[in-house]
Amino acid sequence: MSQKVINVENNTILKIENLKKYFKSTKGIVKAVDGISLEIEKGDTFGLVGESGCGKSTFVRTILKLINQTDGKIFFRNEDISSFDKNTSRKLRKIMGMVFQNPHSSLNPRMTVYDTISRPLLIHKITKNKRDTTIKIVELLKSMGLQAEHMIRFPHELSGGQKQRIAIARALAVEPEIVFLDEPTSALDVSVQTKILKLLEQAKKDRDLTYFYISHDINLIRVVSNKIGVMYLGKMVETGQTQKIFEKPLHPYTQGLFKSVPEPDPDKKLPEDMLTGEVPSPINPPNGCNFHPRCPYAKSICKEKEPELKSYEDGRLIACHLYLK
Amino acid sequence: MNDILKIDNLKLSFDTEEGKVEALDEVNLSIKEGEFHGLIGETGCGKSVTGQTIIGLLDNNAKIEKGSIYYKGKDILHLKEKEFQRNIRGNEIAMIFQDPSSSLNPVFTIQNQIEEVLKMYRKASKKEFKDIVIEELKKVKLPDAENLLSKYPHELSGGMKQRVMIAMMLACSPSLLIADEPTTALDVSIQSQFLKVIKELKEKFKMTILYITHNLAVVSEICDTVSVMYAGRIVETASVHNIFKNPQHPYTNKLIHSILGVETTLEDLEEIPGSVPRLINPPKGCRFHPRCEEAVDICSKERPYLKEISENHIVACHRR
Amino acid sequence: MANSENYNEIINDISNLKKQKSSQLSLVWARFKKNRLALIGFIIIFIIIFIAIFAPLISPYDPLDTDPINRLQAPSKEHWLGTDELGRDVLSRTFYGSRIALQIGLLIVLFEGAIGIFLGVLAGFFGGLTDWIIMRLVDILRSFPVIILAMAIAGIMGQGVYNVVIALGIVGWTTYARMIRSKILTIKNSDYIEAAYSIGESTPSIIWRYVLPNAIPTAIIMMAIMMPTALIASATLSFLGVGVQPPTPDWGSMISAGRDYLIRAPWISTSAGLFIMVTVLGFNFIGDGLRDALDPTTKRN
Repeated sequence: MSQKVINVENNTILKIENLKKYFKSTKGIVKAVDGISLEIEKGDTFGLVGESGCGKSTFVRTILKLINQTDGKIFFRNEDISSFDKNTSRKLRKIMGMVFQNPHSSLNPRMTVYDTISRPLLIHKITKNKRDTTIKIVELLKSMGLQAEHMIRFPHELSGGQKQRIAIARALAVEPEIVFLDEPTSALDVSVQTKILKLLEQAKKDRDLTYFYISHDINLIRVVSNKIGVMYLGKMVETGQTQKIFEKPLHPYTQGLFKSVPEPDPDKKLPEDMLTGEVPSPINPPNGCNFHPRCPYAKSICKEKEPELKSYEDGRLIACHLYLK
Repeated sequence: MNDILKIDNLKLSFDTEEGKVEALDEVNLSIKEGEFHGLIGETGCGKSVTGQTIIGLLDNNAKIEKGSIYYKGKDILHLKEKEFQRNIRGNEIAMIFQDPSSSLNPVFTIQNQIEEVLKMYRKASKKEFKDIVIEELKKVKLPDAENLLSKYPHELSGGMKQRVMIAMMLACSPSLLIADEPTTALDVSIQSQFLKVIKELKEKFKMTILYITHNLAVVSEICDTVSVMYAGRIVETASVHNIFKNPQHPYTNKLIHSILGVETTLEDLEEIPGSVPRLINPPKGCRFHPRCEEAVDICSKERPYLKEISENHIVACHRR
Repeated sequence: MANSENYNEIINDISNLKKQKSSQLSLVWARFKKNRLALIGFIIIFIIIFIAIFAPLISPYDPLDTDPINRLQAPSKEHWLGTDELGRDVLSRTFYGSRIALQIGLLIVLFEGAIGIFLGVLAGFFGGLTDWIIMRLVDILRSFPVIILAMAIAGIMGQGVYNVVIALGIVGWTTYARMIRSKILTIKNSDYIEAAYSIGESTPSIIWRYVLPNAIPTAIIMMAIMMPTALIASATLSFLGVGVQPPTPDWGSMISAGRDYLIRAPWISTSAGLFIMVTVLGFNFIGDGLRDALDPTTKRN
């Protein structure tokens, strides 16, 4: 199944075709997202992995239409949402929710918890009066392990973990179909992280959601997702089922990345052959395959021709000349 | 082997407008020469404050209530700032921080900055300094050291800046390095290169390191001994092996089981109920008791002190 | 699970909690109180306001009552601050002067503030051409000395207190615009603004519910800090003969009138000058205190 297939599976909730987002800067064009195609099925938890500068945050914001794409198409349930303007995009806010990375700055400091969660309910007319709104808010708070009395609090009176739960409640208030989570636990302590991940898992089951996680924490992505994608310098280099990719990462970048993650076990040390070098600037990416300067297996074709994302085996998609026939 | 650093019953508080924050409450910590000592804990536990106290970089509203810090046998906590700065800070004890951008001066080239540091401790000609700087940069495996000399900090990536920091610090040959979350802002592939450099510091230069972090995976990678801090107190100190395979303190145990490793599943992960206490009015007795499954009556009344339960393994818990 | 029955229970609990919880305002006041200088400032201004309101009751003499025989008297039991060149009681005139000072000061701050904040929000939020135009306007106005411009405008409009206010308003809003624009830019880049877009808020709603409420503390602080400038500007203008006309008691014109008698009767200029100084100091202390109380996150060592 190459990604040029027109007929879409019934289960596909989000389909992205050759999405591009370029920014103009004083030093040149930044190709933050450079031709990414992806299909997400309903009920998936998709994990997008990549290091800083790979474009994953920009990618998600472009899908959500918080920023306009430079090129490419986005389909939500077979409907082409790519050319939605600002006003029509507001309808999408009821279907696609987002949880941001930093709970300390993603809540309006001047709004109480009640105000924060009531806004999406009122905007999308989910509740019609104050009574119903309050009931719904209490429901949401309880599902996040919080109490009704938290309603009157301001963000600065809450801990990081509590703030993030409010942010999640806000995203879930509109009863979205797909929720994007941008590093939802990276700003939190490890002991709080577990609670948040479990709450998210429960919410997904209860509300029949589809999740799209972004993280640089590879172990986190492995634990929560059933499908993952690896991004490097604006391009998707490998996607597939989580377990299979972890058992056998194919792309040299994926292999190098996984090798660089320290295991919390003093008997298991990092291997000697780790990823070397630095991520190049997205303004002037290398010719051919983006990764070739750091790739231990680079051939001459890698320096000239960009590898396309093609299917390999077992539902795996990979962009690498080593695997292209 | 001798203790190069010994923190003895250190008690420190901060005067804030909301009240007195009891940041460090009779902290006891010993580091042997050549040891890689990891100091782990979550936000607000006091690990950064401990590092800042050792190197004398506390805020004005900090008050040392009692205790001492001994470096190579001498009390350095009560030294006057001038003497500390001349004799200790830099050439004996050095520190690197989480954000190298704020530690490097943006208006000076790399060469300038390292030279400035060198000039404080040695005399040499301009050419000699340049060679020493290149030498130091090579020690931290910075590629193309000669080209780096004329670059400014903003032209370098985060990982490179962090290594320049180490080079600067190495230039004064300190005996003890304190690293406060040096890799938190770095990508995982850059972090792994950085860890490689740090490991060499121990092998080649026999340096002693106090590595402060909340990242347990990193600690398991490079440290020999680990101390766990909770709410301003050390709750457990042991070899890295024992901390990960045989944690004794209930908090340490929960912490180890809430890390995501290669084999963990979501069901395996443990939660710690409640949240970290505020240090303005901390819980009486054991500060962890409100969240501890094994808590009994005495835990809320009397503070448990660190005691040795097996060789080189000390725990502060009434139940052990 | 919340439903209709325990809805009322929940609402009750919340109302009770709300009453127990100290409001945001009282927290701000508590922080403000702890700052000694701010408290002194508050007391000073309280006294000045008291004097202004009760001037008719507490003034020993009518400020317009001339008594040529007793002109230029040094401070004495009958005239605590002496008499001026027309024999009027200086103390009473300074008391009445506070009325004009505070009134005009407040009007200037509100007028300049309204224009400045409005333009600052437009420039900060919309950026682009709007921002460019407004900022160039700021640059142009700032390159002229405010007092001279104001004099020119007042000259065109004619004498009168309110013309002074309008004149200063037309040229003096630039500081407000700059400060608010700066704050708006910071707010605009915050995550919670992006989060607001992600839940479907419209742009006007974002400005009204998310941007402005976070800019209000800055606006309030600015007004307190700019009050001294307004007072001095208005005193300067009346000193120069523009604005408040004799015989209306006004600190600026009193200083001016007392110039000719600085050696013989220094108390005329000095009293008015001292009152200006103390009032300005009071507002400065309040401004600093407000800044610390409303935004305790900015730590200053």
